[in-house]
Amino acid sequence: MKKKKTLFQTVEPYLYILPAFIFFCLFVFWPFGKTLYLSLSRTTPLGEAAQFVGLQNFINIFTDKDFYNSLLVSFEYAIMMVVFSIALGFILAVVSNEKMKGKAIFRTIYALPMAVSAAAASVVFMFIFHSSLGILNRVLGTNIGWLTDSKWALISVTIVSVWMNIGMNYIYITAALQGVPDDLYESASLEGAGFFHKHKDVTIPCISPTLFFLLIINVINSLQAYAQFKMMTQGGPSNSTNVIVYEIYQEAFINSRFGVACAESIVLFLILIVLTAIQFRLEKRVTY
Amino acid sequence: MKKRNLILASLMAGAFAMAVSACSSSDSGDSAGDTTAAQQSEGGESSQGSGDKISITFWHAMGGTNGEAVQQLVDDFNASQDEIEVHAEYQGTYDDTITKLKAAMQSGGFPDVCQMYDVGTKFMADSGFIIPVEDMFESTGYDKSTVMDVITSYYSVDGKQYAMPFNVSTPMLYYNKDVFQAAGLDPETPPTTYDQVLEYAKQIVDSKAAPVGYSQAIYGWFFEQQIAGLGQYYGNNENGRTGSITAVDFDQNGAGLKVMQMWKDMMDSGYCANYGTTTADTQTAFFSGQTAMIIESTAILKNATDSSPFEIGTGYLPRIEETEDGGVIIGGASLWLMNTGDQAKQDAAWKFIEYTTTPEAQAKWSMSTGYFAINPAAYEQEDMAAYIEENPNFMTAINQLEDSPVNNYTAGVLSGVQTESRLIFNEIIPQIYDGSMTPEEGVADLAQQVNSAIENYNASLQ
Amino acid sequence: MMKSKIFKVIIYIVNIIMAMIILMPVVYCFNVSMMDMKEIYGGNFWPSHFTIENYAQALKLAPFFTFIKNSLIVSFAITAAQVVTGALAAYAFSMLKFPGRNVLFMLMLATMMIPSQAIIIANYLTIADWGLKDSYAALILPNVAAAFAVFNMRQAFLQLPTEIKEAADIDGCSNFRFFCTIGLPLVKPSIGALGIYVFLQSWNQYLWPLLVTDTVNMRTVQIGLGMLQGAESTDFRPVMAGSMIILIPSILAFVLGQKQLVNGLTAGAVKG
Repeated sequence: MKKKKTLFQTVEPYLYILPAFIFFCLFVFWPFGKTLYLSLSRTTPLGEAAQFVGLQNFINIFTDKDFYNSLLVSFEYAIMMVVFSIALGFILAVVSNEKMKGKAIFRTIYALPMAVSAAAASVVFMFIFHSSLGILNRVLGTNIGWLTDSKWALISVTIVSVWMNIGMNYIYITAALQGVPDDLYESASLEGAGFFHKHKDVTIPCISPTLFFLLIINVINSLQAYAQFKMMTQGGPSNSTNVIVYEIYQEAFINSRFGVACAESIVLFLILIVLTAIQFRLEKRVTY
Repeated sequence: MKKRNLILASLMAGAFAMAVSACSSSDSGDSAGDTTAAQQSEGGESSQGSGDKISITFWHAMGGTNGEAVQQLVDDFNASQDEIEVHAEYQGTYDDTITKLKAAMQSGGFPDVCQMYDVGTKFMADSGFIIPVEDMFESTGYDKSTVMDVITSYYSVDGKQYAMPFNVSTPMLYYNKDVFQAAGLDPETPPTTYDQVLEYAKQIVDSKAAPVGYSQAIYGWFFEQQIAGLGQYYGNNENGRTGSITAVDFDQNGAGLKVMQMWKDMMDSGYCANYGTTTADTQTAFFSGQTAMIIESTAILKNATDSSPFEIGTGYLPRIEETEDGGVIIGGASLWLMNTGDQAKQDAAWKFIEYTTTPEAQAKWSMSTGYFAINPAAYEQEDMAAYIEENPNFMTAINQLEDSPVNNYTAGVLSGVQTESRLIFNEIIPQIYDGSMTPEEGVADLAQQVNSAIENYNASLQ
Repeated sequence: MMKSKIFKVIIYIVNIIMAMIILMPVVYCFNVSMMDMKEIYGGNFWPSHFTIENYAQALKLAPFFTFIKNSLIVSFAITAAQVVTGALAAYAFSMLKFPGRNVLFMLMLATMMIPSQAIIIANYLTIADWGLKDSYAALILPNVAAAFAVFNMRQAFLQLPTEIKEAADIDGCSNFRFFCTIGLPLVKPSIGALGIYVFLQSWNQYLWPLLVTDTVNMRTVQIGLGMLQGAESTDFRPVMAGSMIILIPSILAFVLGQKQLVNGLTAGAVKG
């Protein structure tokens, strides 16, 4: 069976990944190398390295209680995001995958939030959440400062983010559902499985690669979200929504401390690597 | 089989090459098209001799109707002479513009004139990429007194003017005249001190004329204003005007505590409400009749009068105490002459900046945006005088500015970390309001965090 | 039979309720774009009349047609490029065996973990170095490849039964031919999903296009929205009108992508 490979056969797989890697090298690895360098430097207000300071930036961020707060806020946000946006995306995909009239309309509606930019969505939700004028307080008959009360602000921004992200999860799960063979459902039905059992026993195992993909992507995306925070709360009130990426944005572009921002980026990078590695371990255990 | 393989391979390669070449070819093709389009749209009428015109770029951060007014100003300048062609380019918000300018300073290719917000003044002055406008005064015979002192003082270091004020505003009090009437208050006499504001607010809420008496957004600018109103410095070295700031002063001179204590008392009274750090949310509460009085920039006056469902009254920014040296600080942004190394362009850029200060240009700018005219002669222009006649609220703003003494208290704080200071302020105030911090702790915490930012900034310059 | 009818009705009702909740903010956005200032401050949900005034104002403040053209060119180019580079790399990572496969995959995946804020200035300097500022190339090049696309396509290929590739190998079908004639058609739904996602991502970009373009002729739609917002005070109505204007092309993109999404794979035919 085993034959000696020709040169082409040896090289061939690398040719497929070459185009992507050329661009990764130019626009990700190379600038990230600079980031590493800057994280070890004190930077000028322009963002250029001024002086090598070793690990000083890292020491600074790890002795700053605000940084731990940012990490905590980010994790709270990410957990809420991942759970709600995948679960809702799944439910929407399943209920709109049944045979019915107007299916295409429902599908378009469910994916629509993806097309609304963070800027527009934030403005709309700021009206909805407005404590005296907003529809939300009027419908609920409450008087809550959704974005101005530190107890509620993170939850409110999460609601907006779930709305913005649900479309992506919906589309991917819908795409995956097309690949579930009908005969599996048929045999499940013959065995008398109901709506919920059918999806639990057939759908979820069949689309598990997609769910796994979405899990990783959602964790990464939610730990990197910042536009809605910038628009709606600017990290406030009292740092209650100061997620790590907003903190990075602020340090780099508002406070002109590029070195610190780069150090924070590297910490976030390492956290994400560890989280992803854990998830890949879990995937192996679950699918095989 | 082999043949098909080849065809497929070339198809894939072709698709990829297409994607890549599509960008490069459309790039060259379109940018050629762009320049002609730009020339047509911006300098269409004066086509003769456009080849030897000096072309300069002007970056600005004005969106919405103000952006339209910038374009109008530039168009008027271009039409007023035939040697210089200014291209106005919008660069996003103030924060976006400074980010972009920093990047451009590193790579080259920055504009000839750049608009920069008030809090970016120290950064610009320290950057080494600018020419202080005062350097151009003597050689061009520009009269420094053209622009009001109380305005230029903000952009001056040690008496030297660095930038030309462009869009200028101050905060003032806005109130709902209908609500005042309903509450039995005189709609023509607004409160002038915070104690009065509280009194009025109480009467408004008690008489059920409005659910909330008074609100102000959480905004560091208002804090700086109140310190200046008390006739005190925010930072040492006279607000950074006689030398670089090395520490804040508001924790030492007691002004910071006075302000925070006052605000805390107001919030605790039950007659005032907090709508957070987004100034638009406080405006919405005001225009919807939810709250009867707010503090806002004079720059929203035009929009406010145009769109408000009720009659708006305006008053001076309420003070904590009346003081002789106290007054308001200007805010907004200024125009910077960039050091591009090209003498001809710099001269042209200065000509444009000089043009923006003429009474005609200022009158037009002020009327279409709601910002102040920085040249008092503009108010004598016929159309401007008529405009003020029609909009008496505008007069409040002008009087307030003219009544402010010119000194280093009202010149405002000149610090490289003022954007950051305001963000730190935003974090602390809600904690004072909700009681998790006392005003004393708030002042100490703010001072400590701002001081460490200042220290860091000063170190990064060395 | 009765039971399945009731079931259908329930599914319908669930769909309608969900659709209303999801759609509400978009409807509200549309409503605000129809209102005058007094209605907004009155806190109305529905506008009292229909007007194109705010749309006219939005178009006057920002040349949206130019921006839409630019965004379409850039977004389509990025989508095509990411699908091609992503599918090629994913194919190797999922179907071919070679030394260093896992390491390279992890290295590639790691690019997703880097916050864009940390590298955006460095990329700006690269583009400026190459003299590409203010061009389509500047907008497209940094987005030609994305780990997201590679990862996404890899998962799609992994979902295919391994026997297909084995059978093709025995038939002597070359790797590349398998990729083009069998692999790609089978993952069409994923390409559709990826296409929609990438398109909208690039459509919604703000900071990068703002940095690398200077002139109004090269600007993209999100910057157009920025042009509607003032520094001190903002009239939200043109912003909402602008949002509706730029929503239309994205809906079209979705409708196009949806075709791929749903009629790509006929599972029975392949597996049976």
